[in-house]
Amino acid sequence: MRKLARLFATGFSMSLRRTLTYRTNLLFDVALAVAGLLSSLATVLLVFARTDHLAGWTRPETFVLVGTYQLLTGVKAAFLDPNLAWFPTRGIREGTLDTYLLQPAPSLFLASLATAAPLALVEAVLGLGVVGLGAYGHPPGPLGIAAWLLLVLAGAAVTWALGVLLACLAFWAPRLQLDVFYNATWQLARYPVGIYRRPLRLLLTYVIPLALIATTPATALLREPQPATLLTATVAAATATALATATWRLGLRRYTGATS
Amino acid sequence: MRRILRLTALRVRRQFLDWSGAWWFTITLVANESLGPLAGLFVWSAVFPGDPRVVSYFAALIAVQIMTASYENHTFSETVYQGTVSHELLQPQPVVIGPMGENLAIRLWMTLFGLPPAVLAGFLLGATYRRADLLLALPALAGAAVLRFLYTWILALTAFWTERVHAVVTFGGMLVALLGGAVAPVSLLPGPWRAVAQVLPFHAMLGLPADIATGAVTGPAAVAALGRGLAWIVAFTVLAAVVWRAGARRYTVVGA
Amino acid sequence: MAVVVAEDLTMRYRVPVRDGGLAAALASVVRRRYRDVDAVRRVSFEIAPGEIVGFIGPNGAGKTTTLKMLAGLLHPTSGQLRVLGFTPGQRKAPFLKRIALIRGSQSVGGSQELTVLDALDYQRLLYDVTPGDYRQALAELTGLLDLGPLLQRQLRALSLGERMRTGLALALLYRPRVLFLDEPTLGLDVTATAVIRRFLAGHAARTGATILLTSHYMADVESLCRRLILIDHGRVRYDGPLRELAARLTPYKLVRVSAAGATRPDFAAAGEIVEHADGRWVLRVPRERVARVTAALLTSLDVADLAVEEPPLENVIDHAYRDGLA
Repeated sequence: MRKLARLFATGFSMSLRRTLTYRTNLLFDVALAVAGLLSSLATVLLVFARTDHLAGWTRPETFVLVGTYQLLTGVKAAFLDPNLAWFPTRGIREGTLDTYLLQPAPSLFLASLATAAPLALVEAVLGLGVVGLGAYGHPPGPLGIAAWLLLVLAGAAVTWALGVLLACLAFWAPRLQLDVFYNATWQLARYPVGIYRRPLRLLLTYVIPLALIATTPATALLREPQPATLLTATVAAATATALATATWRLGLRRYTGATS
Repeated sequence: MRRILRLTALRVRRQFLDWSGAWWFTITLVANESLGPLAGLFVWSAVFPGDPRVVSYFAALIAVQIMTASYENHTFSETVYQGTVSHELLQPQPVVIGPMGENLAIRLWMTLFGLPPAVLAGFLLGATYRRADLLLALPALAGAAVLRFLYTWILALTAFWTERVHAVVTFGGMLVALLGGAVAPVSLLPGPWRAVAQVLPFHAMLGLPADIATGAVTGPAAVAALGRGLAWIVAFTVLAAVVWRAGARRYTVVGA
Repeated sequence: MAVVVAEDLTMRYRVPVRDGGLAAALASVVRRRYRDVDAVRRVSFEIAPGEIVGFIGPNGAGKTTTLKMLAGLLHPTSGQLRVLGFTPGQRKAPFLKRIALIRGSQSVGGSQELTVLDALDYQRLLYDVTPGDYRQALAELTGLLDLGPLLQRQLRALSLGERMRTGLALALLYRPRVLFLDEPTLGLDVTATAVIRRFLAGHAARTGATILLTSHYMADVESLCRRLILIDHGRVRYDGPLRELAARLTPYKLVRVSAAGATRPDFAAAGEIVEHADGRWVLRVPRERVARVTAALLTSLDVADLAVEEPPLENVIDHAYRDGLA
């Protein structure tokens, strides 16, 4: 376990060194992160220029939601996308997976967390700032913050699991690239889940739990954190992680031709 | 001119066949283009509940987005990064024909796969249009298609100068979404921003066909908007030629 | 104790097959038809510690598949395989820390913007190399592979030869007992190839590591490997010393004679004339007759120079690939 932590830290340090090699690219990436955030905020401002409530959320509350979304998007872009995106091409066809299989560390860890895009963390930090901005008027109690943190971690775990499951598809249907679809669906979590019609809302809460990305944590921070929600989220995160790990192992057996 | 058209048609046909193998990928592209406006539909339906114009606008927007999608940063810029654009530079035809043909082919496939479900979804969600409005929206759609291509093409050409062409195009896309009517219909933008958005090309690229189709922009205002769009097409064509010349010169001097 | 024990290794793939035409394409959506392809068929061999063994064979023969099975990347469909006492397919950490696989086509993986030193540092962490061992290994490898000028440079800026040397350094940093090399000199120029060959020979002698290499360059095989395993169509066709293979496949040697004033009939009894230019003649002579023929030529002609050569290995192997072994 300690070795994994050290590998993760070193991988991050390597990625940081790599990023700092090109200074103009640095500028671009930071500018893009800022632009992305401003764009999200502009959306909120436009909506609340015309109304006071969006599916029951006030403007500062929506800021908290958007900020939480940005936080998790930043974390995903920093730690998961550099490894799992375009897995059929980069991982399998270009032989990166084989390289990981030869290394004395768990292949799932290497394939999903070995490298990073540290600059995307700017998005995450900005998102955190927006959460602070939204919660400024009604600062939440420590219980609310703890619940929010727990749910954000659960959301991160679910995001990781979904990314891994998507990558595992490559073991069975190597020509299928669903990254574009996944990133598009991710956009739906940007708004309070209450705006969607019932069938879609249920889908986003229970089947592909993208509601866990923003809506649920923001709700916990702003209103009474419900123990039932916390429990369900933890169970969901644990189940998703177990499912992803099992599917990876199964897919790897198929990839290496192990039939027994 | 005829030769250019013929070459383009040839390219379109070849790319169309090329892309026939990746039909599932086309579907993911359709999803990518539709889910943004779909979210917008739900957001603004929550702000103005029961207003049919909101649904009609965003449903039309989904169709426009699908039919004017442009990915020149993927089809062209990568060839600059890989150095394979040299092949194109040696051929006796304008390089833009390649990306143009591929753009049309991709849009054809996306329309084939995406328009029927979009129309169905619109119908189910309660979108309604008047026939006259839809007819008037067609030239606006054509203009949007041309303008969107030119815009993305110019942005993709920045690959000659920077390694971050995808970031540039993403940023360009944000401008279109904010000022072109994807985040909110242009008519809902606050005062000064609305005026700015009507002058800029982004509205003509995206929201204008949808606005005309829903009857939000009619008669003389529509004609004026179409005229402005035409002016932008001319401006972008000139800009594209200039940027291309500068970029190709830089590439051949500096190398891959 | 043998380092590698392979018994009846078989690798079978199922590949989908489809006839041409639209009707067949539509049919294949509903019902997939498959065909079994045997990439490796009942391959058996044993390798002792310290041996350098060459795997050769035509493209698609099953060499790379065998190598992947030895490295643990593939599970054999059937058969037994033990490397260093481990079952490779289980990919246990102690096993992985004792082997290295280097592919000539992709000698250095990972992020290309890192420097060589960064990559070595990461490798140290990954393979749990102690700081003392690391310093020692780094000094050694830097000297032997001339890595000094490369350490601060980015991986992406290295030439092919430099990448191969870096790849070797990354692999040998943790002192693996077994080295699998897949086409190590692919695309390298003459100097770089010589460096690599010299290094590998020296490494085996110094450390007693076992090396398995595949190559299409006969010179690699000739200079490094005393033992050759020839794989064709998934089966082992030959397993033994290099010289014997040449002897078995080509029952002749080449005799080069420089004799001014000699004419064709002078060589009639000697053997088949392969080349002739400017008083220089090349004859193909059956092995058992070489001594007698050369003695006869030396006495009957005014010979300025005479040499007896093995036929070029390329021809021998080419012969084997095309016609198979008897």
